[in-house]
Amino acid sequence: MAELTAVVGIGQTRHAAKRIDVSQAGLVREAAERALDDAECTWKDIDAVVIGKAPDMFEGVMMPELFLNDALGGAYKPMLRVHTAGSVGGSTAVVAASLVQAGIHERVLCVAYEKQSESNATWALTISMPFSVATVVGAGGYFAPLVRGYIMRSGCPDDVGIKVAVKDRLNALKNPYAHLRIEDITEDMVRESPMLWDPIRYLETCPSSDGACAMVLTTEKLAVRCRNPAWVHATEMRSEPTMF
Amino acid sequence: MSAEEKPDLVKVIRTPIRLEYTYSAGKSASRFLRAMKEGRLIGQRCPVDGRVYFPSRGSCPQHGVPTDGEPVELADKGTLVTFSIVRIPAETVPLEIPFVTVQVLLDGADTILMHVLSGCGLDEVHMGMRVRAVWKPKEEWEESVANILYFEPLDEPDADYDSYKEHI
Amino acid sequence: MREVAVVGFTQSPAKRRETVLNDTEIVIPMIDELKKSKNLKNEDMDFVCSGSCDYLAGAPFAFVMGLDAVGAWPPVCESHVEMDGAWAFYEAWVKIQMGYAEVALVYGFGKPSMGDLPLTLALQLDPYTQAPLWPDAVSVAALQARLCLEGGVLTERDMAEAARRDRRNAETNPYAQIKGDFSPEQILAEPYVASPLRRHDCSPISDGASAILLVAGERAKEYCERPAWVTGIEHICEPLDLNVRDLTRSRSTEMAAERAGVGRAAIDVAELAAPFSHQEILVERALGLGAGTRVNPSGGAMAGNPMMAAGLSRIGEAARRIWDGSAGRAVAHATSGPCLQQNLVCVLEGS
Repeated sequence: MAELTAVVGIGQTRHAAKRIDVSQAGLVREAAERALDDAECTWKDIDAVVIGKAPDMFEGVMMPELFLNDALGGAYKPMLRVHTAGSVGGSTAVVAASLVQAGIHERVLCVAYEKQSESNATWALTISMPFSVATVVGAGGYFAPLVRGYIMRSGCPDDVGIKVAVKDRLNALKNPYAHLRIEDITEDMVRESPMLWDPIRYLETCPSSDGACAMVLTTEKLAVRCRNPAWVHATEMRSEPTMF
Repeated sequence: MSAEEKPDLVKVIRTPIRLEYTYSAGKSASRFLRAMKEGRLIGQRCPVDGRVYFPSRGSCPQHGVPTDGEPVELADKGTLVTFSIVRIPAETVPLEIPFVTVQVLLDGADTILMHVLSGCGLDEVHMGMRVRAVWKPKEEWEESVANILYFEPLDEPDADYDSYKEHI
Repeated sequence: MREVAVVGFTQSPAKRRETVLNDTEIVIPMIDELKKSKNLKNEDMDFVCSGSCDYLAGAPFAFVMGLDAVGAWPPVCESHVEMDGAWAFYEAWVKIQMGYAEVALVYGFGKPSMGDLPLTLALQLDPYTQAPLWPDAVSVAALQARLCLEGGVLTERDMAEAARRDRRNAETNPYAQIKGDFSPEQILAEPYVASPLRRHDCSPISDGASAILLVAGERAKEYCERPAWVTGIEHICEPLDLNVRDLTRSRSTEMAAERAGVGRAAIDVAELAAPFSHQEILVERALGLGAGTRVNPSGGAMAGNPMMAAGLSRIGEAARRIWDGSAGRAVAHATSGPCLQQNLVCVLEGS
């Protein structure tokens, strides 16, 4: 029943610890403009905008989609703001695709971003709620015990994380947009990096980055005009309880 | 003149934000915290499958039904299910690094409590250890999980992996 | 377009300050009531979507706990918008339109009493040039009201009449917070809180939540004798900056109303989520409502404004009037952002 939908344009910003050279609006526009260029269309060709972003406290702006809508050519258009915490990049794309799959819009622009340097991401993730014992420092602090549990449960070797870290960083050297570019990365370098939340080492964690990514999705009718549409075959999202 | 040639162009401004919130623990957490003040650990049972949630948030997260029946009293000892050794400090966490964060499955509970461990070397900490709560002096007890200062190893053989494997 | 209907609606009473329950605990009994009244089992729900705001909660990911009220094992297809539940409703409607879901649960919730709401809302403004001045939401709305008065678009008496109508209608709504028969003279005699706005021109600060059940096609009749069919729905966002849009009309509401087909036939009931009396009048006009339309029989957001649920509740209240036969065609409105920046319009009809 769903309409066939394709991604016809993508755009990313250069990711860095601090993008002081752009405002939040400038950051999302950088990604959006690249996506529009890639899709060979302009702002006025877009029917609706979907903005995805996790906690507002990462930038200190409440509901920043209201502020950013104009920068994304969304004035007087339908605009949605998705926030599904860490999964928001993916769910933004899923929501954007659904607008086309449902036959509601022909061409949708979606952008997901964070400009964490404008606030303090570790603080935003470690907000000390009253009546609870503060023991969790940042996202890593929350995941580390679970990682240990996974290692025990799966029986995987201790160096799996190290190998993944090296693989990703070697691939990153081929990606001009990547934040971390560690030219001489080796397994030993990762193994010897400081242990942050045992068993997670510094080089096994992601950096805190400023960056945005945008996509243009269209109907089949418009997609067939494009060089190489990436057809959306299916999308799925699943949530489970936080603690059970 | 380009941006680089104009040294007085403003690139960054600091805009401090201060917001105050008055936070309600909630009915379920309040019941739990009041019991803490008396040195009691109470959980809530799911009416559908009998699992004991500790601490309870008022509803069974699996079935989405209210858990407002009779509370279940729990002992203050249990099994260390998993842990991490934290080596980075944070302003909001008043502990000296390195410290050990743990997930403890109290005897009788079906969900874990997040807390910290002390009283043994870092290399002695392991999954399956039996642990017991070390409380603050009774006269210092408040409505807070912090009445338990930390968990310490208990002189009992390690728990069977099967008894806690579902919780990792 | 698939036929989709609103078949269930529950809400918590709008309360100035809910000190006993936290936000999840407000949601739990309300969703429980919806599930029980509609005999809805967890496995029947194809999609769940909620609306809430981290800055209202004073914590990131506050919405994640709300899932406890739904029951998420086996894992559920769930999403969330950092917007009023009315936009979560829209996302669910889309999920049904694309054929993914048949049954969707939507909820919105918030406890704005925990913080200082008018001040917190200052953070919605431009973070570089406006938010650092901390213009509170009431003052910002007052600027718009002043423009309307000076532009001859409406009078203070019009505003008082709107407030009076809402508070009087609210007397029959057990979930409303501000109710009573206040004459325009009484209202106009009160001092300004931020001129030209008086206390009665402002919606209250309310803690609360609401939930709606959406079902596709013929199956809707399994849940409800007289389903409220969604025959039109659209939402439009204007620029944020107050200087670049006409604040004396709600152009986005006009556009959304046109696309949702509001004007195709007479509207019996309109439920509006405007949080200020002058804004309510602007929305009423933007929707092109005639004299025959009963506006805000529930009292609207002016009688109870649990942020992140207020818009969703308007859809629910409009649907109720379809179910009980007192309306054949209804429109519900939701809003977000300063001075009616973003607006959603939904048309509901009985069979």
